[in-house]
Amino acid sequence: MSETIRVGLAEVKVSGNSSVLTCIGLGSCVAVIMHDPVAKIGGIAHVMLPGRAPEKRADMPGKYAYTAVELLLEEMEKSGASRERISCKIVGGSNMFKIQAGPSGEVPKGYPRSVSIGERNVAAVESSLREAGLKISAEHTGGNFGRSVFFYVETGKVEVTSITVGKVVI
Amino acid sequence: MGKKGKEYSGLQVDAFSEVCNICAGHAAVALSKIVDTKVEISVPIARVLPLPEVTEAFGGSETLAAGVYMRVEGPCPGSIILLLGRESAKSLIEHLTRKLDKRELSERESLSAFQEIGGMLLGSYLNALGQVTGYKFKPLVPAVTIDMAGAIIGTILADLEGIESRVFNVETKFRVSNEEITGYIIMFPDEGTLEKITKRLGVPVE
Repeated sequence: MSETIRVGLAEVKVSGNSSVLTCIGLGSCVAVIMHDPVAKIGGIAHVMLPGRAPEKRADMPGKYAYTAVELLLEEMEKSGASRERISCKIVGGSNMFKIQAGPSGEVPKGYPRSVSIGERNVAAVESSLREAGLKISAEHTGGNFGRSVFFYVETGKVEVTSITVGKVVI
Repeated sequence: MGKKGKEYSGLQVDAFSEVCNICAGHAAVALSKIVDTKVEISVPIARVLPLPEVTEAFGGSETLAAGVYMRVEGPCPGSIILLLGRESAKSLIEHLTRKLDKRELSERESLSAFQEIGGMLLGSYLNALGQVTGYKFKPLVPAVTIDMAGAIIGTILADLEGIESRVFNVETKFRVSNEEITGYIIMFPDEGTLEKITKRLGVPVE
């Protein structure tokens, strides 16, 4: 029997063989998925914001791209994964709200920052993974629609579902 | 909430909820004028939710929803959203097109109409909030989307300032009589906003 583990906003969870890790309803958030196919260890960080957790608010490291990636990697290694074998996939980072962009695609004045936070989250996650020396093997990011993620730790298969594009396996 | 372990007093929460009740009343009147039918509202529910659970709290993360979102600036910043199930939003737009005897709207037009209605409702909510408290609430441009409720809520939480592991919100449920239209107006104050508003209302700070 496979166990389904839900990873909520700002959470970082690592699990072993036969589990399915999921994030339901990712908008601008990014799911950082790490997998060690040999040790059969997998984990997801559900990142909400770019940057890193301010020190005085270190109780939510998983909320911010850089600290989330560090924590996820640490938890993966603690569970027996080897950094050399870890492959990463990233999903999410959409710009959820439909707005009329400016002539060069910029966000016009008067909109909240969340209208463009998706792409900034993706950029921050990519750069923090690069800093950690990890490679991204696949991604399903951007657009203006929400997604759900189902990550099968045993095989490393990642299913992405959304209203707009249906089911995609990456 | 942002500060670790900080709690609001029962009196503060009650006072803030009461203010939200008045504001929701104004929004309901605005909606009832738009749809020409009675609109009922629930007693507001104030909740403090752990961050990972917030997206699940309004009808389930995967429920298809339509949302009009306004970020509010000024001395009491926060975020406010009108959230309807997709079918409710559709019924609302159909009801209006019937009333105005218009041809069927395209998807784009429907979304734009929904954005307008949302802007009006949230506008009257904030207007009332300004009248009750004497503070100025400056909404940014309303943003609209139709998608999974969890994805919508998760995205707007990115705008909250000073809110870390726990999120305070006040939700009011409304229902348009004789129509299958129900929805929520949800207010998410930034850190410090609830204190400011309740202090203005004379609630002692503990």
